Amino acid sequence: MTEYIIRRLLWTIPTLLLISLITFFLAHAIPGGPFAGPEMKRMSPEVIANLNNFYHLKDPIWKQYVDYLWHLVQGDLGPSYASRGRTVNEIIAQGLPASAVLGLFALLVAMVIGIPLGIVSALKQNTAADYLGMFVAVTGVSVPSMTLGPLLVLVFALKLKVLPVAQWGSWQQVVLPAFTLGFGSAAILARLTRASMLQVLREDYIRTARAKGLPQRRVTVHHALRNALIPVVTVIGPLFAGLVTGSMIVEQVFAIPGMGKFFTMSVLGRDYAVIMGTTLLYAVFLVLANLVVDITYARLDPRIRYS
Amino acid sequence: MHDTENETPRRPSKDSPGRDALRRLLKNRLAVAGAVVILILVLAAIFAPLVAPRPYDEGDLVMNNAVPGKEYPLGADFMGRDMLSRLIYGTRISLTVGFIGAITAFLIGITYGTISGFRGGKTDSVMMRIVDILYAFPTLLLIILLMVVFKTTLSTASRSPFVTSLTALDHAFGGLLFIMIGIGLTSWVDMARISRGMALSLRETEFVQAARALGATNTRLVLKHVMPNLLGPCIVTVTMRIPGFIGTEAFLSFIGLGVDPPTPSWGMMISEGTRVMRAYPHQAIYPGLALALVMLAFNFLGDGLRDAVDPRLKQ
Repeated sequence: MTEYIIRRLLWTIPTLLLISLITFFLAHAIPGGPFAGPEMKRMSPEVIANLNNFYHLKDPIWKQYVDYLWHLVQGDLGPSYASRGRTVNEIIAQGLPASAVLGLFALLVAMVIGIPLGIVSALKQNTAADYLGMFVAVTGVSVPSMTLGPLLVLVFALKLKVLPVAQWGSWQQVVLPAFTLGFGSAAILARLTRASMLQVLREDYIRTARAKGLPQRRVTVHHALRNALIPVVTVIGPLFAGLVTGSMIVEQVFAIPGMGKFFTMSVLGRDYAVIMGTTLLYAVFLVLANLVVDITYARLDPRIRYS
Repeated sequence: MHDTENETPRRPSKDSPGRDALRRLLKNRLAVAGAVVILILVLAAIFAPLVAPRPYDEGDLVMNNAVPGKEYPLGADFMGRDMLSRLIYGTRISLTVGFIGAITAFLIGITYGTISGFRGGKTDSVMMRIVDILYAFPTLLLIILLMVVFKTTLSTASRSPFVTSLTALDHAFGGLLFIMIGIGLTSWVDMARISRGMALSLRETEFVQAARALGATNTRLVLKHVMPNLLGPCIVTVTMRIPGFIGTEAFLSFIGLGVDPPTPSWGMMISEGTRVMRAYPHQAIYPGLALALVMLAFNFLGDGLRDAVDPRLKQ
């Protein structure tokens, strides 16, 4: 088991290195450098030359990359080129709390709605409850947050006036964004839970449990659910990481000052360092999430460990 | 008593597997509904200049932000452009991205995967290693980075004639070319994986071995025996990816990395609409509904195709 973990951990290092390489070179493929954009034209060429020297932007590219990596392992993501005087770390630290809270609540919504929906659909297969549940699931997967957000705002904030339209701060302001972000994941979880549950319910050991005369409740909860939830649990990792990227839309719609908003701002403002920093952060998040998933799966399902 | 002598023999089904699958698909009402919706949207896209009441870029600032009414059936946006017309022209963007993304992913992915799977051995290992590495990279982030590079290439003068002509072409398409390049570069990976797996297993089947024994060249084997058997599941898979492509384009346009204004992309319309949502919600709702409709239609169709082609359900 530990050997498996060590093996997986070792694999993440080259993956992360490669991601940083690709990100770095793409960021530096942007022609003209961070100080050549139309917003920066107000500066005289001498100033630009000075800035380029100060940030070592004229050094050979491999040297810049090695420098970047060196700073990276010390936890320093570099200075921001657009908002001079601030480091990328500061910008990220400013935006991360809001995004993290949003992501957490969205995940909560996804689990609280999705998993029970899937279980009920599986238990009452091919009944009205099942069809309704799966219809909700398909809608959730197809309706993107871009559509759902404004719709929810229209219904709950503008027409019914029970929830605020946007912004961040009070618990009421968390409800609509968390729901918008989490609904898609809820649908995925519902479908997965249902499929997994259906498969487990057909297994022989469930039959045995019923034949033994155990009450249906115990059969469902203690025997079926535990096994059915294994694939579901493993999907939660990547789901959470996916929520982080999905937050870009929701943060824009609801004017939430999170990392997604900073990311889009940095993209439009061509702030290299911030683009790179946030992309790397997202990517690291995703890679780690996958790692956690793989390890959890190995722990929960002994058949995986020994393969 | 059963009259076994004069019993009419069961006529063997003259249907090919394709016709069989089609029949099952047509029985699935949701899938058919999806297909019909897609057809209507395709027609709207092709005949947009005839169907739309106004050109999509004609703005009347006096009437800006108009609410839905007689003049503007679905209202007007912040520049006074008719929402209905922009929505209709928007079908062009979404459907183009969806279909061309699908075709690119299909062609590149299948070619790559089949070659890799069929060759096997070292070629396969190397090719699949590349795929694994690309697979580990979060696609959306890669596309965003690519689009940033492409977009900023536009705004700076470049010496290379290739780049300038490419950007001119992109402008001609309203910003779509780079989006399609971006999607094309990132979407073929899982098609490659799937077709490689299937090619590997198909390589060992008896009919392939028989054909090989008869002296068929590798090319002929791949083209005539392996690929036709891959087509079915690959078409299903790629159809199910289409909502993803459409969503990606909408997302890119939403954050400003997609089409150039005034090209009417639904994503961009939603983004513009959210800014005035408090006062004029219709500007964000209608394109949102259009987007959801398209994605739902393709999802239903894809689900239906998958169930129709599923060999386990064959009677």
